[in-house]
Amino acid sequence: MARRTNLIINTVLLLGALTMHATERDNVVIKSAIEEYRLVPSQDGLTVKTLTKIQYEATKHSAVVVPMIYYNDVISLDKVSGGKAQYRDANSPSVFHDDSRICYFKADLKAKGAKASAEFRRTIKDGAYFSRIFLEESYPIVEKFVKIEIPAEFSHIEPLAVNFPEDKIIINDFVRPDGVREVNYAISGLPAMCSESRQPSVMASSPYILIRGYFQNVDSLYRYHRRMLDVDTVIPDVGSVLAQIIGDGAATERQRIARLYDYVQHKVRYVAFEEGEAGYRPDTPAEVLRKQYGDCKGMALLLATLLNRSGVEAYIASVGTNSIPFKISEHPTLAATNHMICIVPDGDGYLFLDPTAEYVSPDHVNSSIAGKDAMMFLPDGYRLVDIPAAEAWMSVDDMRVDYTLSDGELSGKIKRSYTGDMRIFVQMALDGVPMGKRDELMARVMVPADKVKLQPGNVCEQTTENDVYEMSAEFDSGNLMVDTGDAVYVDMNVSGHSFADRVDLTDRRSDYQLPFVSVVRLTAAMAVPEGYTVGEIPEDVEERCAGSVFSCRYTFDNDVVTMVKTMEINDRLVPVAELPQWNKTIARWNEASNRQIEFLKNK
Amino acid sequence: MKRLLRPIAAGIVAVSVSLGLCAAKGDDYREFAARVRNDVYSMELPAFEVREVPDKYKDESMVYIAAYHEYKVRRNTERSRLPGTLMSYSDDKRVQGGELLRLLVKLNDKAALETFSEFDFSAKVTQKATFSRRDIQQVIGVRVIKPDGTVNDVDMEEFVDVWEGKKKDQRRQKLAVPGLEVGDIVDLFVYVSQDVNNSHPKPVTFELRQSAPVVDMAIHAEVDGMLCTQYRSLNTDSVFTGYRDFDGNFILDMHLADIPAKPRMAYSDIDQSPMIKFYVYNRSVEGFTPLSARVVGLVPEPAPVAVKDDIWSMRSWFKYKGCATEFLRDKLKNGGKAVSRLKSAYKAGEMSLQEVGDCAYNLLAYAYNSTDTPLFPLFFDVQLEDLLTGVVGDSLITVMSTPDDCEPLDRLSSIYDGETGTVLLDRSRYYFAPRAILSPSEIQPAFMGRKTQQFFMDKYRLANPGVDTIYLNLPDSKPSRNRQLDMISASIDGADVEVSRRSTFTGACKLYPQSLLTDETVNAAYESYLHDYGLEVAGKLRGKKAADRKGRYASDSISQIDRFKDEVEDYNSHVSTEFIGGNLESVGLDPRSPKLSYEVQYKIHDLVKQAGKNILLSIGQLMPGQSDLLESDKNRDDDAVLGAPHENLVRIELKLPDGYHVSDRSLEAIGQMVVNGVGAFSAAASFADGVLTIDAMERFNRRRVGAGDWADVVEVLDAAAAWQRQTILLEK
Repeated sequence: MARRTNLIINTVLLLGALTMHATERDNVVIKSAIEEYRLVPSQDGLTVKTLTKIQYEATKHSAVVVPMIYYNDVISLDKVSGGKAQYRDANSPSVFHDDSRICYFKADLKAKGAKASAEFRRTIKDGAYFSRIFLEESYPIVEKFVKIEIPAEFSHIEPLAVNFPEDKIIINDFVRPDGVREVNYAISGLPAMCSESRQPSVMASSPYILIRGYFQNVDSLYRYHRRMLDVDTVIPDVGSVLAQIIGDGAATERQRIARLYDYVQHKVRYVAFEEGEAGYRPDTPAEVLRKQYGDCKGMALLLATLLNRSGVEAYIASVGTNSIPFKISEHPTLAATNHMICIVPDGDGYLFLDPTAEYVSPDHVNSSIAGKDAMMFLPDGYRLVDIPAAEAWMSVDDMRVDYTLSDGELSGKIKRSYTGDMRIFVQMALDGVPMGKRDELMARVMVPADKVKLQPGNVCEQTTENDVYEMSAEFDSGNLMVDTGDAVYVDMNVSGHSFADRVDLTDRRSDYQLPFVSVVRLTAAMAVPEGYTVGEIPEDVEERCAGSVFSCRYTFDNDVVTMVKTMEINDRLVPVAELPQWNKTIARWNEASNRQIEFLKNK
Repeated sequence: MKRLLRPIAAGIVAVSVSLGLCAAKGDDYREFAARVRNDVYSMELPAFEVREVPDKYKDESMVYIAAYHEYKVRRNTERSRLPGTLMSYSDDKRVQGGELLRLLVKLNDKAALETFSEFDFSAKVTQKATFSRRDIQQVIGVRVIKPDGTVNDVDMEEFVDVWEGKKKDQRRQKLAVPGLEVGDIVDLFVYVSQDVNNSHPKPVTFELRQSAPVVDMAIHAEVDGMLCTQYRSLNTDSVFTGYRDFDGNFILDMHLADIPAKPRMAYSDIDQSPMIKFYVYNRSVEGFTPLSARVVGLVPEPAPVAVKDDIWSMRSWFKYKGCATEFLRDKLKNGGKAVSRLKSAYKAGEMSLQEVGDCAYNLLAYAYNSTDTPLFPLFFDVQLEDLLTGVVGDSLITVMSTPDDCEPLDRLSSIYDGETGTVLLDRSRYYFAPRAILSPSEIQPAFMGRKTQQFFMDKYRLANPGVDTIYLNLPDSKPSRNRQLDMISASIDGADVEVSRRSTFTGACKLYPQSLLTDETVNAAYESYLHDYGLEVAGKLRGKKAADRKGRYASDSISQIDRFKDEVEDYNSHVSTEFIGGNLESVGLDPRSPKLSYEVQYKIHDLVKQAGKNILLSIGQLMPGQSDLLESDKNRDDDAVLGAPHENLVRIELKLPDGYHVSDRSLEAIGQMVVNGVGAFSAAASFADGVLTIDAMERFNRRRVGAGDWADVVEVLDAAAAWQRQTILLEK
């Protein structure tokens, strides 16, 4: 879902930072670094001249470092010094093609205390792209200075400090006698960027300088986007195309929306293509239809066009996904958006259709954009539309197990259903499985094999009219019961969930972020078998942590024991300070859910 | 390369060395690519007209309806112009050629669609070395055939050019295949052309079995009759048919049909998969050409003796008297004294033959390891032989073998596949260059049970060439020699179990924990061992290098903790753990105590469940994670390769909380025994003095198991997996 990289990603990155061994991170430091950003007027308005000087030092032993700088069609690389430079394409793995390139070289730090330096000069040719300066590096920073020079004529440009840690960055902001505003950032003792499981996005967690003001308001940002959207939307023979897609029986507008949405979601492959202007200008709908692939812009425009041609009012809209922790209205910069969707007015509200996300129904707002705002492009302007925030009940993993004990054997029925993002989560995973193994993997997704071994052929799947994905099966053996002779103990806690994994706290620095807010519920029920009486019913437990609720409730009604175990994730972010409590909460919840139900044999 | 025909073509692209007959000159890549596309899609290949897939393959993710693999090589005798002059010269050290792989693939699901939907490849690359050069060009063509029979050629305009390098002189291409859907058939090809100067084309392997079923496969090769071409067939009876054309070229063809997919597990390509290793030598480059390839023409299934002789010759180049002593003096403090010490100790009877052999082996290995010297196996062996000959005389046997990732020695096809080793006359030791840190008393696992050629000395070999036909197998190991023993001491802490585990490894099982070894611990172990025999040596690192090593040791010890943590997570892969600590006890390079051992401490969460006044414990989860086979893996027509015979013994001693005892039924249920021809799984339990003791054992007796015995393997694996689900009731 990425769009053109409109930022200066970490001014100097180090190759392989994410795979780098811990020892290298401990060994090498950024002894000193200087970054300068000089705003200069140009024919087109504003360009930015940048200078990056960086010096590495090995503190323990020899090492090889790879200074690297990012550039593209908008950011030119003017000068490199420090080693034999190499140049290559640098697509992110999630992008099929864009104009991202890197220049890098190897520098040997031959022994403890050895130093190596690199220098890069670049020009950001379009000031709109000067939107963020990230401050962390792949190695710990001993000392780094960042300077931004803003001439008086660009006084509307405003650097904002975001996620700055206390005591590590000092800001010195003044106006020189020549009228140039100079903002200096002195950084010391900043740890290396880290890669931890389920850490929040870099913009939500790393210190950076957000450059705002190039677009003085949302209107100005709209005008910038708008000039990219003049695309030929003619689809040859659109009538027969629509007839083929919509088919018979789609009398209502809602049915037409559903069928067209489903078509673009499933028949058009998402392929991110973001070279040059293609980073912002959508491909034509006719072309996307022909190729049966497109990026978010192409897919959104195709969907909007098909909807329009079938008589449904629909518009494309720029949005920022949840990896961007602010709205367009808050900071109207190019950094505020990275995605495009299709919006359909629906009564007093809207349908937010994201065709890049498969298995999302028209009524469901994909969690990656929920809670943000969208710049909806109207024929003669735009409208900023708030996208509803996600709520836990919208994405539910609901499992029900009914046990029967008969002739000493425990059997039962399982039904598991998924809605919203939970549905996407499961169905996308199953899509990656070769069809010959799908049944078997589906059985294991449904219930862990160490609890119940389902026969693969017995698992039925269906998607209901309400867009609920359901799996169901029966079992006649499992690892859920212990018979002591005098009593049987039944394990009601058939399944866990990866969202309830404990977090490894060793050296953890980042907050912990779950993929989306959701409800995971397991209901297990068993009638008291003939010849038995039920023992003590376990006590209910309810735990709360970081805005989420974990509960386990037991009831005994009409001779049926029921356990309802629920995890309600209302806030997907768990602050790092609350993680020890988070782990304890999960431990207590697991302990409560693992209590066995005791059935005593009547004597 | 992002996604390039992963299943079948990955090999071709990885090799990227085949030669093209129609290599383009200058920057006319697009013209070249257009010509190749036209040529390929004009080929008369009836198998590529088929659209039906046999019913038996309807549930496969993808099916290769047809596969065509072609390889052509010619000498290039064109006259060329010397750069910067008008002079021309004939360069007869050039070869040109091309390798083509064309596939007709039915895509039955999204996983298959994903594989064939995007391509990213180097279109033009030049590789230069001091005296050699390769110009490589790759072309990909894709044609989409819809279920209604419509054929859509992917136009060249759909490919995206990516230019790299400072001058943007390196070309890559990317393609997102338009109009591709599940249910389509893709007719695609990869063509790699190469112009090679002063070097050999790298070998091509025709793989005759793939990870998806192949309905029809054809292999075609055309090689210049004036070049030396050799090929070796492995695991197949299929043979080339062929003839010689008027230009003297050799034309070879092979046709196969209905080839099932390879199993996804317990399958060794080199041991089981049919393939043909195909070598063409640029014979003019005689300085770089092995003697065995200095013949003109086609040599099908070349006699291994010729290749082996090349290896022996290469070994002889390295060999000179005193090469080991010179090396040890150069690398180690007291290196020369150490050699003298070995001689005198052996002469005085203070050390046995085995002790001298082991010491010499570890001394050499230490010299490499402590000075970060790259190890070339053949040279290591020559040094070891030199060292031992100087100490014990001629009481040695030299052997040649191939490691288990290469063809067996009696099918040897390349000088790069063979290695030599040194064997003590009483066959108590088989020394091959170290591939992992093992005791010299243990055969390196890659050579266990492998075929060897054995000689008493070079002189004997040269005098008796006929003995070359004799192949002897190195001893294959027994499970008891490749053992992992886990001693687990556990106690219950609320819902968790606290574990202290000592794991001990011998033989081939020592390969698993190699990542836990650090240079510091390994070198310290070598020094301690050598010290015991009076060899006071140390790697010659001074000044900055010595300081650097010290710093590196410090960093390694930090990362070692991470690796212990990973070990705990891998061992208990089905449950949630919390790592507490770990330390290495023994590296296992001393033949007197060849065990590698370490201790780890951790917690396993949520294994203890309240059951009324009693508690249930998922005791099976204390065992290492077991393979839980899919039902579809349980039927098999192929032999299974399980690795070296091995066994895993686990003893669990669980201290029960006060006032609890193990229910009799639970205790009884723990007992389990499965024994069959291929292996065994057993578990037995006892309870005394508040401690539950469980002994579990899983064993596999053979490296390779016949398809008919696969059910026995399944029986053992199922028993182990079932036991891992075992719970016990602790009654109050």
